[in-house]
Amino acid sequence: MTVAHDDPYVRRLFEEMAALVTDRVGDPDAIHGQLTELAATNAPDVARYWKQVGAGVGVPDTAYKDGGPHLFPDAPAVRVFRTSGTSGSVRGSVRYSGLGLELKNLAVRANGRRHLLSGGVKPVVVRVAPTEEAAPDMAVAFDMARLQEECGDPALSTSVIGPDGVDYALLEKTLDAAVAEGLPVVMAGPSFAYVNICDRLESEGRRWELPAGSRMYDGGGFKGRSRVMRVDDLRAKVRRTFGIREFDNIFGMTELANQLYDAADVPVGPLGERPKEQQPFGRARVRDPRTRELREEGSGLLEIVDLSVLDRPHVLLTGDLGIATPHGVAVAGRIAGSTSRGCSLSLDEMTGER
Amino acid sequence: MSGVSVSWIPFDGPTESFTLAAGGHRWRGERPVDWAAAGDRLRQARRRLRELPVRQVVAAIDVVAERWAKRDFPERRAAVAAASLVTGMSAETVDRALDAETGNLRAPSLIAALERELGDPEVLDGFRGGTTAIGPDVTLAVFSGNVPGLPARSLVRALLVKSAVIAKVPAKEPHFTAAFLRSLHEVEPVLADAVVATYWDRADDTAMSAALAQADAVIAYGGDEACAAIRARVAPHQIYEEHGHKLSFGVVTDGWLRQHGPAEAARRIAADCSDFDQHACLSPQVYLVAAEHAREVAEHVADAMRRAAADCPPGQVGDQDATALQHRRLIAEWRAASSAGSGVWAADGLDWTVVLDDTLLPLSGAGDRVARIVAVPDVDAAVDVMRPYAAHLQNVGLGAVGDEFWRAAGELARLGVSRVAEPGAMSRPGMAWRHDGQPRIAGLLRWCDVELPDGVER
Repeated sequence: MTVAHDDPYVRRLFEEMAALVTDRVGDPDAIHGQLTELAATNAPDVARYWKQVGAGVGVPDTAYKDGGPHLFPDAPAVRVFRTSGTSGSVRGSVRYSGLGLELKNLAVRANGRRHLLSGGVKPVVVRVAPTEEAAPDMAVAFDMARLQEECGDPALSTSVIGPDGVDYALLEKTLDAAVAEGLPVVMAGPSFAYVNICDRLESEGRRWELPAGSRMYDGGGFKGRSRVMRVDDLRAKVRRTFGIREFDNIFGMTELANQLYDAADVPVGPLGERPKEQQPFGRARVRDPRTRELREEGSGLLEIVDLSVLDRPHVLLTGDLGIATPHGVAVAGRIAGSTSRGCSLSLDEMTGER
Repeated sequence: MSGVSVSWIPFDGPTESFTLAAGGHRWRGERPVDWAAAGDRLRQARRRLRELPVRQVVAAIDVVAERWAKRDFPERRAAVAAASLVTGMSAETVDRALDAETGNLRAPSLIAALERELGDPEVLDGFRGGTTAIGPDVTLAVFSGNVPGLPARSLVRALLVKSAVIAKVPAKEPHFTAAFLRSLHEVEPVLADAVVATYWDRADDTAMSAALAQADAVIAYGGDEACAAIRARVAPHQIYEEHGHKLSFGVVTDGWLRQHGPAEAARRIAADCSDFDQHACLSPQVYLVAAEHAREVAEHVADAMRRAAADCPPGQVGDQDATALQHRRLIAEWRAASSAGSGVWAADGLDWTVVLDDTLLPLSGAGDRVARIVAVPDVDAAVDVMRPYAAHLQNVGLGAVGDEFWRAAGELARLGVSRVAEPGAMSRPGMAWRHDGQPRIAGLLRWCDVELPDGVER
């Protein structure tokens, strides 16, 4: 017997999740238990999957290429986000019910407040992502817009992505204005974009010394859209161009609702990737590749528990490699195919799908 | 560090030492410093080799192969231990690979290959019927991969055409080549004296260029990128043979399954997917099975994979491969949970996995005894499924009967495959196979035809 979206139980669960993501109040284990039970009750495929591999093991991100499990088929989808195709050329989709989208909204805003606001000053938020109007099916556009609304200086904050890519005139004007007003700048966007933006600005001899407290947030890696850079090299490059001295990395996926920020400035991954923070409402963990058990230390399959996901299973197997350390779990890129064996080749290598 | 050298340099001259790290172990060896001088020595050795009749070459290789065919031959025991150490494969898996490879090097098999490609093998010894075939002075063979014994095939083909050889041993299985050459030297020094086996790093352009400058023919094994890098440096006068990225698969039809039954079909499919721990390019990455039998076959394959693992233990799976494999499994488990046409059967650990699906999904990674059974309505559909990979296709295990067999084989040949074998025999191509679709003995040769002038008799 499935639980309907308008069932009072779902409303109560929503309230508990909202308190947890907003104020970190509540019992994460109890919510985790309720969400697990709800997924097993409402999605027979999830129940079967957990019966096969163990209850609570993350559902692979590839599930969403086929539509994926949705816990409330009775509720109208108020938003549908499409995946970018990180894990292959086929784009997936995730649907949000009204309550589900509201939770995402609360979670992203609360997380933003905790990280972007310091010293009571609203920074100029420079979004290296399209606006929601331009990209209504892009989860990143939604998230960035919420961050700006919640944390950004209302007058100067802006998206700097136009129909033809980066709007350099707008970017430069915004940065100049922030410098003139002495407002710190928060730049947020994909890692590859910083490489390309800094390359271009460097070649034009443009640079800024942005006000103290300015910060760069990157995420999503390079995806073949720029050269791959080590974390510290990218940060040094951004420092040279913008005079930014504070850095953070955000891990987010369309299949999740919330994001994970860095826990500590300790290089862990092969490119110096930092460990992600463990919050009561969301954390990264690692499964042993041989036993599927959760492991405290070492590398394996990255799994994200996101207690702000209501519309689908809240545990996601991302397809990334995770490295567990006492500081937290670092995300160390996509799980590649097996090691090369001379002339033997796998199907994904042949079609370029990874 | 292993005490036995992985290099073979049969003459004096300045050398430098190298150490090669593979599989957590270090191997030492020597490399010529003066490649021009080494080339001269090889060309001298090649002149002596040219005097050896081809049937004597065959006979000498046959004696070596006979020694190596015995599992208790001390050189073989050492090679099995080394290969097992470096590849992670079980000793039994390595032994089976060497059984297959040494079997190919016996005289009947070599003569069959020579006759198939040349007609008369004695054209290699001089004019026969107004024609003779001349091999390269020096062949450079760049080996890669971790299938034990693999270098023997190209090495022997070069020696059959009486070419001296510079063999770059594979980093992932460095021991075998020099060990084989030591045995060859005991039997027929003229052959082993015409070979240098050594190693240089892929990034070492100096050694590669110097070795390449001595070669009249180049044989490259490896990934597409590695092969392209070698190909780009081959000069117009050099013969070039490439064994790049390849993909193999199986097809079994309703008719064949009715003839053999699901248990026997499964035994053969499991053997193909278990041999070499599925690390060879000959190993099937997928078996396309007549849809009405697919689930039953998959269930039987699970039993057969379990028995194959008990019979010949799977190798150690490294951390990266284990992660890729577990990821593949969980994706397959989700498919099994969410789609009626899918299923997963697996060992508790990572020893073997059987995946049933009704579509061929690109999944991260390959190998490590994953039998992927994909249901297809018929042979035409199977061919269509593999069409996107046509440029890389190699070996097909084809289970079909009667006219359908030949019709399917024809379709597969036109699609791009270079070998069709019965299910269960995919990993054991005979020496007569035109390896990756080309005559590999004849391909090394230049012919000279005499149009008889008046007054000269044959």
